[in-house]
Amino acid sequence: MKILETFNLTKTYGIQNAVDNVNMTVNAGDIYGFVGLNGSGKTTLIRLITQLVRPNSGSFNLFGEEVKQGFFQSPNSEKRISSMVETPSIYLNLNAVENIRAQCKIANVEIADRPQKLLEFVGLDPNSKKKANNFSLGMRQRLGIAMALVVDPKFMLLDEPTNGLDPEGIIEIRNLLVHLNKEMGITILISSHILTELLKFATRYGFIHHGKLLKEVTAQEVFDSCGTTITVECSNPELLLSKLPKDFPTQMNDGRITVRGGDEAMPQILQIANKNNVLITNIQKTEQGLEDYFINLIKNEDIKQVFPA
Amino acid sequence: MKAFNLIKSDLGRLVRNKPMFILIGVNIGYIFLMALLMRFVVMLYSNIDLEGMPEMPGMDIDFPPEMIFSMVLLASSSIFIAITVSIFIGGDHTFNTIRNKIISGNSREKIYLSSLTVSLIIGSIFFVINFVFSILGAGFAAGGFYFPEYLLRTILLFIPIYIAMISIMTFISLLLKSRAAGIGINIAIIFIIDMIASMIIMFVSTGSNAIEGIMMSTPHTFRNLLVAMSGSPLSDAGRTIGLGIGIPLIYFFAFTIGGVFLFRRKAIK
Repeated sequence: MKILETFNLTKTYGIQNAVDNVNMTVNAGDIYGFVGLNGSGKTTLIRLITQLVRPNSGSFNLFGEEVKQGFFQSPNSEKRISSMVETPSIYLNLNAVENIRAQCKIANVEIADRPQKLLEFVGLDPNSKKKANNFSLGMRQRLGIAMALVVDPKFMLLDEPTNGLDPEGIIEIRNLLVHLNKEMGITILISSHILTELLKFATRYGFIHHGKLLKEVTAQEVFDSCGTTITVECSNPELLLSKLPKDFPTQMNDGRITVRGGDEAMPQILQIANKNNVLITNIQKTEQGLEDYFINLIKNEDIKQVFPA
Repeated sequence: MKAFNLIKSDLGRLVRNKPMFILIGVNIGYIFLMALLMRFVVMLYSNIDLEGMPEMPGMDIDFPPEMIFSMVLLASSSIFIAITVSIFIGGDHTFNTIRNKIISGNSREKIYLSSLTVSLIIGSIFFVINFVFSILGAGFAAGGFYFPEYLLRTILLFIPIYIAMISIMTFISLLLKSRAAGIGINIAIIFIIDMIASMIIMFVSTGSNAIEGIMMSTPHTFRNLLVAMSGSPLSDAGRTIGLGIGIPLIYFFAFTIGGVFLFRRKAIK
């Protein structure tokens, strides 16, 4: 089931397209990693979906239904969404319980023991009288997530939820989000700069650059594209390519052979070349992570913009 | 009640709003300071021997208690209401909690109108406090408590003006993203209206009755309205009520409808 589907969603500020004809899809059960540079349009897109800003054109569906401006929160509890955009939206002059109670009233949900349960769930002390003003950044993020959980959402949009957190805080938030996704069945869209962190738990990715969605891929596709690549330059590339085992993912460009594989591939290539009297002039091993994958993607896009086909 | 969830939430926050209680204290202190000052003026005036002094046409140097009451009330309350409304309503932008209201599925119209309601409740709190303490202050300043027939009329005429003023303050607080700017502009508006009115009076009232000058030049500003109403005779009650209720109502609806319209289109951080 498609939880979110956007159709040519566009938001323009002045002459700049902050979000440019974006068509994206988030499926039920996804942890959708939304990747982009600063100012690429990630936050604007989340703000469009949460109706904090109005699109210039385009539309979007939530839970398969078209969203009309101003009325996007479904009365159906199975179709509720929540979000945390950049900094957590909390009243700094209230304590954690008072914040949750205020949010319950705002969202029109029964309070009962919800504040205690939610605060315990995110690892905050429900008996503490400490004002949110005195909370650490990690505590504020957790309170923000607890407030987003007030409506029992089925879809959460989180914009940089680990921003400014220390490594321990990042791990805590990650574990919390994985728990929400796996145990509570909440679909999550999360934007983050920390790509290595996203790589640990996202199941799908969307890459955005200059407001345009460049690509949507599954975690498996990213995994397949990333990893170790060996590039070989030699005296007879056609011969070497024909002799390499068929299970080696290979390709040849401009007389250079690239082979995807780990450390075990390198000695095999050298051995085959030696056996067939092929002189290797250059052999390089490169590791590509999600960052490299993303950087290559945006480089290609930038080249396309400068030199359109 | 589903329709009142935002008001309930805001009222829950209001009772925990420390700045409001501090401002109430400052407001009461200010009223007594003003009353003390006026008491000195009244005492000073009563010691002046007016016999043999030339008459000054158009200048009324009598100090009736209702005048003192109006001046004390007018001087102090609007500024404190402006600050409190700006802090409370603007706080939703400062803390970004206005997002929670939108994301939770509340329509922008509902958010605007519930903020206006809470602002009116804040205004009522200050109005009652001002009313009670200004009676005490005016009584002290005049050297005795008076309850003339003007008193009820002044109170009744103040209410629509307060409502209109608060609708402007809510408009500004909700449409500006900065709480500090909201406080500044809301206070400035009170003075700006007065300044504009005073400047116009200077130009048009030469050689004529000042109140008539005000009425002729800027009949629609709050201050002028009050001065005109307090000076108009009881026989002219219909005109006074028409001005006192009609003009604030126009302000109220203009700013509320305009505010809802603009807030619907406003981008939230």
